[in-house]
Amino acid sequence: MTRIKLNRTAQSRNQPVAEQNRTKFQDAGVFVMNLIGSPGCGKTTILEYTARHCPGQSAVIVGDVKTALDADRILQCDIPAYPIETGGSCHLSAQMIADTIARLDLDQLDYLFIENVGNLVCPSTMDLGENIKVGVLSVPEGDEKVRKYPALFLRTEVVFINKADLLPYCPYDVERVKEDCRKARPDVKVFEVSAAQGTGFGPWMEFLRQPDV
Amino acid sequence: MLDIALEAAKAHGHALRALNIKVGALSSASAEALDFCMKMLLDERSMGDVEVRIREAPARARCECGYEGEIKNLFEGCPRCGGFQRDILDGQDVTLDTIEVANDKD
Repeated sequence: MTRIKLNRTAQSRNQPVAEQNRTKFQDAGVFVMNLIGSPGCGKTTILEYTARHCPGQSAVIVGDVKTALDADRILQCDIPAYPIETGGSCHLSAQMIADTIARLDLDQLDYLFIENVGNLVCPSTMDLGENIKVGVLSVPEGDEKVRKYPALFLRTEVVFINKADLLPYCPYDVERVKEDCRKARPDVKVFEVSAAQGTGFGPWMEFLRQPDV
Repeated sequence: MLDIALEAAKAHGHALRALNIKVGALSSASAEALDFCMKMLLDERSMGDVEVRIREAPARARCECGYEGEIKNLFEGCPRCGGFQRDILDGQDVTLDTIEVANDKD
């Protein structure tokens, strides 16, 4: 028996495509964000607000297992939206993004938002070629999500705590969640918002004008 | 990952006998699920005699204070300085570490 050292990660097929995407994004000067959160945490609502107030030209790629319902919501904000129906896969892959951006004129864009499939596990390790990963938490989900899904929050440069307007009605320790985010990743930026009410977005808009990551 | 193993075995010119896989503690992957899937794939390809060995790899980090060691819990600070400024060195990936192939003597 002969042993052969390979040291190849499970991402070996995904990573080169992610790097090709990243090069295309850099060449076009577009800042790309990969939004990851549970189903129903408010990713689309955050993007509706962001798309309407974005300080530049933006487009949105929306991943869902079935339907283009979320992409339709973004289109109603007069922002180009490209649905990816995964048909069962619980996360987007770099190849799905490569196939989608082939239809986009990246040079016309300043920002590209990618809404991943609602899931806190699988999307965390799948590089799409984005500049940053954005974790989306919401108050009614409970304040232990960061602890329960450390592999995601180790990788998120930005975290939203959404549905902050529900804080008076839910047991939720915001400061503890922020502290957990910083323990997982000391340089994380945390934005507390209510996307449905359109409140708390000032610092996020400031960040978009000058993303210092 | 199985394709990578088979390509490497083919390049070596001998039959694949075993895969040695590391599952990092911060990889979001389940060793049990991976084992199940890998064996199913091997059975489907009539290679049920290929061994799959999965080892869980701890997360390791280097703190800004210089301490290097295993992280058991991401939310506990460095055992030396208590801080959280650290670089993760290992444990973020699922890795096909080595394969074993038959040789001429087998």
